[in-house]
Amino acid sequence: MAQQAIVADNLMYRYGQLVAVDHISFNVAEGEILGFLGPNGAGKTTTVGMLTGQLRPKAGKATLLGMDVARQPEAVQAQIGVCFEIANLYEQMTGIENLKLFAQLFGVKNFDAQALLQRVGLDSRGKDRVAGYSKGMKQRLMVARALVNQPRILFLDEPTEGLDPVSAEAIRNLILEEKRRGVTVFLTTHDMLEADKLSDRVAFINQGEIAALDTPHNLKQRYGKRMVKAQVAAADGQLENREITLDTTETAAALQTLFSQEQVVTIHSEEASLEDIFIQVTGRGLA
Amino acid sequence: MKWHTIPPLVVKDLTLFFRNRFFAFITILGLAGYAGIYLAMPGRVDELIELGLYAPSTAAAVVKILEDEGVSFQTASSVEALKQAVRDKHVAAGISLPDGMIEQMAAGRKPTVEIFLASDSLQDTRDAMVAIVESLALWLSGNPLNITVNEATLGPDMAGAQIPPRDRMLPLFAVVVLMMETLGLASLIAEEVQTGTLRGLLITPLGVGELFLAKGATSLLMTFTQAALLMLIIGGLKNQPLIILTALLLGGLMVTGVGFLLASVGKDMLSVMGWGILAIVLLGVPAFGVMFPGTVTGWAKIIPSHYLADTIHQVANFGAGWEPVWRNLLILLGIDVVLFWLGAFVLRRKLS
Repeated sequence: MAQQAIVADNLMYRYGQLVAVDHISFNVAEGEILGFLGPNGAGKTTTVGMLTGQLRPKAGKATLLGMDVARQPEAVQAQIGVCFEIANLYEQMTGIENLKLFAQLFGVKNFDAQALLQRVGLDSRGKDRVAGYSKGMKQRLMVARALVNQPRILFLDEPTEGLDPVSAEAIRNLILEEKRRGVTVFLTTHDMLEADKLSDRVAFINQGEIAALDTPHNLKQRYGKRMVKAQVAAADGQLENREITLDTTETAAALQTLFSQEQVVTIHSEEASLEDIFIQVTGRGLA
Repeated sequence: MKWHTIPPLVVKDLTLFFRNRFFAFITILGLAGYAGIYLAMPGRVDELIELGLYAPSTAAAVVKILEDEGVSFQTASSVEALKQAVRDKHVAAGISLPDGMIEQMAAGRKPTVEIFLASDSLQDTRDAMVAIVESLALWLSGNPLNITVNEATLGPDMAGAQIPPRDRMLPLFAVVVLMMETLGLASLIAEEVQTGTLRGLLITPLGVGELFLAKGATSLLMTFTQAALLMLIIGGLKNQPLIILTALLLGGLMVTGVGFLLASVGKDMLSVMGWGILAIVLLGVPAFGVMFPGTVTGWAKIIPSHYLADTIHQVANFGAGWEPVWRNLLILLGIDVVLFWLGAFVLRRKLS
């Protein structure tokens, strides 16, 4: 059984009277990608804050790689990389200077900034000041910065938010590459498709509580509804939609009727998306 | 303590400081500007008080008396010319003796002597003029005061060697230079809080203690170097350079604490500057007291910069050694510890 990289035990945090995270518990195994999904204000960033030692939990305990985050925050922080949602780079410094600064703070010996920049496709812009970078370039540099200390756990907060498809795909590939190296990834996002593509398991957080936690496949099995959607030509030449639910005793007969009695124009299977499941589980959308 | 984290943070702060065109410009311009102001001001004090005199019938006798007494004066051709000389500040005051003054006194009458004073004349000047005229009248009546006056100066005799205004400004230069550099650094800290870069730093093994130490080191380096350089250029290190440098170092620590406080109350560069101007005015009060003796009373001792301004004034302008200023330096060190701790505490609360 894989060792647990992250153990959240009954974590609670509140801002004044407002409970942001309400006694949540979960584990993330080493080398696993956990998608942490929820709408704005659900408690995602506060949870990351407690797991990374930025916030001290009001109750409960967070353990990373066997270390109590509240008691050994600096030892924990030496083993993690954090990519914030909002780019917090030194804009008047170059890409290389930004990376070298963090490498020095982490005490990394023989740090090769150029090689890391190459991994995120910024090797040709390393000597330019960050102020001149596009949003996508800044985000890629943020991910690179989170990797300077070769972390064992990577916290990524909305890493592809608002990026063009090429930049977003580059970052996704990088995340998968890190996973292959054995790095644990805690991915905070409200992009359900991204979470579905990347995550081994996903957790739905809503109003500070975890509403569901499982693999995307299991969640779809449990909450989803598989069906076939078809468009058929009606007598007047217009297109009409037909839906046939799979996995029922009537499915075979319904499909036979569809093909024998109607003129099928298009047909495709459809499984429930994580977003559908999230709405079903929490009763609210992700916006 | 992770000492290896300090140098990169200092280098980062210095890089950001000098890549901010405004602060880089202010630093260089400030250094050149303060040195320019100092060098443009007169290097000596004109201690001579010149009087105007209109004495139509007694000119020869009065001139002899004034020359014998060593009073510097100009004679005027008319009362109107005398008044104009006073208005134009060619003379400190004008004395107009009436026609036939000696004869009037001999006849037992009381002649009227007019003294013309500029609108901004000090009360001391007015009183001195009256005393001169009374003394002059005794001489003219043939009954000079039968006394001998001996002058004894207690302490260093500054007659003919008064401290010129530009040297009185040395403490002000020091306080302003120290504070201006601190404003730059406080703005950078406020900007780091605002943009979240500080949050990025604190997610590394860097502790808050190391962060403040690095910020303090940068501030001290910037403020001390700039102030010491200015003092070197304008000759403020001629007397007891070690004491002056120690005072500047302690002053640098003091303004670093003030800088932390400014960074904690300011949200961006503008608000830091706004609060900073208030701080500069307040910390500048003791230095103004040195420039204009008598304008600031003992209460200025509650302002931390008093101990810096007083030390620099005593050492640079009077050649004082350690003995008269060590208490100042000790108090300044105590203030530094309190301000640094308070600034770091408040800023830490803001960060958390």
